[in-house]
Amino acid sequence: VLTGRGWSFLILSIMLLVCGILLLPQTAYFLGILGVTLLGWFFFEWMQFVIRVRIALPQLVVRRQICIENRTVAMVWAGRTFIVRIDIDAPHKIALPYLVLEDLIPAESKKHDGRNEHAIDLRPGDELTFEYQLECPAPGVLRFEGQRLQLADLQGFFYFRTFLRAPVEIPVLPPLIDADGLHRTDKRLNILPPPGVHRLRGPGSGSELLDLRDYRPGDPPKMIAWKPSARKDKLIVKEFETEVPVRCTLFIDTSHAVRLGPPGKNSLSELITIAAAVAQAAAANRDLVGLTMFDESGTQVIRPARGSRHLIDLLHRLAHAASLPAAGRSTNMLPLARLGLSLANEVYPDLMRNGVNKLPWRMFWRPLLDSARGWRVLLLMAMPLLTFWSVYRGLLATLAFETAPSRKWMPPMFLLYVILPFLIGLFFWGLYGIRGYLDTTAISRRKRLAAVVAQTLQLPFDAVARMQIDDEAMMTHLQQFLAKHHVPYPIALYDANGQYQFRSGEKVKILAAALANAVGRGRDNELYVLFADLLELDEELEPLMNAVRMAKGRHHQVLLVCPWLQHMPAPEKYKKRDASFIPRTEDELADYLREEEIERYLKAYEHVRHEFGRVGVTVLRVNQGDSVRLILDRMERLRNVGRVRR
Amino acid sequence: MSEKPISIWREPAVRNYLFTGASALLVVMLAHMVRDAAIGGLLAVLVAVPGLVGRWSASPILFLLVSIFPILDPQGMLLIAPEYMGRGRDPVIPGLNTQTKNAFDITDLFLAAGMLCYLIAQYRLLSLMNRSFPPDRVPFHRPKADDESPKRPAKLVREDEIPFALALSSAFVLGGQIVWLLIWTFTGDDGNRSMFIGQTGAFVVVVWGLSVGLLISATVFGYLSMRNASHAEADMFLRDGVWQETYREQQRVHRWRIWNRARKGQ
Repeated sequence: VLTGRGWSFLILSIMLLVCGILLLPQTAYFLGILGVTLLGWFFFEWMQFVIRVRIALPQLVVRRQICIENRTVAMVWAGRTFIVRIDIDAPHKIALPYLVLEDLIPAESKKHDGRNEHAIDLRPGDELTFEYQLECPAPGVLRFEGQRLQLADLQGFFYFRTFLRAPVEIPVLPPLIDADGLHRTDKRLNILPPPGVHRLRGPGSGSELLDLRDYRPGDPPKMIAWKPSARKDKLIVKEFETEVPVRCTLFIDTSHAVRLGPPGKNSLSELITIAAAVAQAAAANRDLVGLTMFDESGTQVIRPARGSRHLIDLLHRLAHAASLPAAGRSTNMLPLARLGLSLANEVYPDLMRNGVNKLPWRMFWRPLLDSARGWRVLLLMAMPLLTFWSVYRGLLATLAFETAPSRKWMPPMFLLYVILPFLIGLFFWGLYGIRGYLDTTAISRRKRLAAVVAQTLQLPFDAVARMQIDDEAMMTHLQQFLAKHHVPYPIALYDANGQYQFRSGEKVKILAAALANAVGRGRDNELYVLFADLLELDEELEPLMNAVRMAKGRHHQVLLVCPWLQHMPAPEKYKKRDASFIPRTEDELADYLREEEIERYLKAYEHVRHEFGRVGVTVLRVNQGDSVRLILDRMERLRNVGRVRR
Repeated sequence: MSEKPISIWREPAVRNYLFTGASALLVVMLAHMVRDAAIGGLLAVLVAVPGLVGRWSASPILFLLVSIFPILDPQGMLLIAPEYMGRGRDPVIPGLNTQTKNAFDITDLFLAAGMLCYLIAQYRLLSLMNRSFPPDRVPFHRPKADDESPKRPAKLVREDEIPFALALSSAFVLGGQIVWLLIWTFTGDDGNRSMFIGQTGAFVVVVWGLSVGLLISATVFGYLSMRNASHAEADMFLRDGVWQETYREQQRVHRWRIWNRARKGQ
């Protein structure tokens, strides 16, 4: 790209040369010499620059490493800093005297130390390294797109921007917690079972005495309690408790409703952070932890197991779930297109240039026959054919006879009347077609963006033409394009009919089926924790309630953890407004509507609490005290005192 | 670019360019004085100094524009006595060199070298102090609040940069003289049988030379660009080719699909 500085210099040099040669050759030959000298130098600088751009830049090698404590890692932990190291290998033969390299930082992360942008002078064979420190506050996946390169000559005449795409996705696992700190410290038992084994009040072969009972034929003689037998004068046998592991299955709602909001700050992130803490604490205690993630379309199940490998697998799944983008039917393309264009220009400048993404001049012409009313103009243009019909011909002849000023003007007038409809049609045809040239910017941008989106998502070859005219296809693919690059985009909460888009009864059915399946496979001491957004789904809750009743009927424990919108006050802190209040100004009306929204939300929460409370399920909010401790406390109860003998 | 503003007096690289530019201006001034154009030369230098010292980005362009005047009319006679112009075919202006094809004049060599050196130093100084390339105008891209003009850091200036620039400017001054002679060699006088005659002929030669040079370079670099294309670029090139051939037909088909969808929706 020639900069303004370059253009002004070039124009002035050409002007000097032309003046020197053409206009004033006899008086100002030096102008010509000066013009030739300046143009020669400019041409030389241009050649140098183009060689750097076309030959040297493609040879540039940039590598990225993620390091924690000087070790290269493939994943990082939320809330912990890590180092990003960039290694640059210069081209072998050509120098790049001025290059600005910027490593694009993922939007979800925060930069702590160091610089991700450096101006460098690369000589052939040079190897450079720079580092900077990042932190990702929430679990998810970090996407490093690559490096932005800006190249300029030393005078500032030429400028070239490109992007070295090297997309890397690094999972950000939920933060490691201190599992011991989350467990109760009060002493309940004299003899603690080994880790991962818990007492169950059922007859078994454990070490703790459960009960004494009368001897039944077949009981082993070693179980006879001799002293009570002597006292009672009949054979009494000892029964011991059973020792079993506790299983905890986490059901996590990953539907689009909980994905709404900026990455790392949405409901899904909160749910996953708590679920990860529970999983880690349980795993530290050698309890078995399972995971079921569900959304509107299906479930992903990991059976309960223990061990560090299983835990890391769980955390990986949770991290990937946390980065899932929300998708809905957008109703406004403009914000999506703006984000898409910005991203495409930033990351795909090579695919946006004219060499590979052309804008032929003819593409702006609007074909009349493609419009719904095009046939009318076509009919108008075909009207001269009616001249073969004698009646029409006679009509035109009469008209020509009436309007011609003299006899000799009659034939030309007749001819004019014959071709007049054709000329009018032609005029409308041109008028319709030329309208496309009035808005070339929007058409060009849309075509270029559509082409980049189609190439990036590897869509079929007809996708560009389709996205050019089909708004719905364009919006759908733009959402996919932005989601692929982890760019948050606006989503309409309500569709064109005013219906809330993310109310999903289907996910309740899927959750109910998953819970029933887990209960069917369950043994003793099962804890099911449902991390789900079930507010305002009153009518669809029945299948889930049946599944919960079944779980409770088998003496399992069930907990429900609800996500909570950040701008909603806690129920215990909310003060009800005055019922007689009538809004009179716009501000009061806005407050009134907001109060209405809060009340509706709280009412929905109370309803869910009431419904689940009836079947003995505790309902928690994610921001209610220490949810993790409450869940772990419930597991403790299962281990020690939770069950009666069946 | 969080580079702090460079203090002009503290950076050796900036100082060196400043002194190079100032020396070049001195040469220009002296050359103009030899050509009896002291006032015009002084004016040109006065326009150039704010660019060197005060980062005035319009300075080099104004310097070139102002320099035209003392070159055309060294003693300013056109201003003082405009009636000299237009009398006869070759107006005789005091101090004017009337040799049309003159080259390798020692004063001219120094003047051209001084001007080119000044321009190189001035533009590089502007890159170091003002802005090295234009800010990106990405559509809908909101610039950050702390975005500064991108400057070339002074630490990137190599030690051999200024000597190389001086050598380069000398080479281009000599090259310019040679090319100028070549232009007039290809161009004959009115009486000759040369293909290109007179001023127009010289102009045609220059335009032809520039066009051929640009055409060859564009072809070579276009070929290199295709040869070094990435997989994504090649894929895009092919997709674009298909689109260009068939987009009207495809759009027609998709219009029917939209119509069908709308009808089903109703």
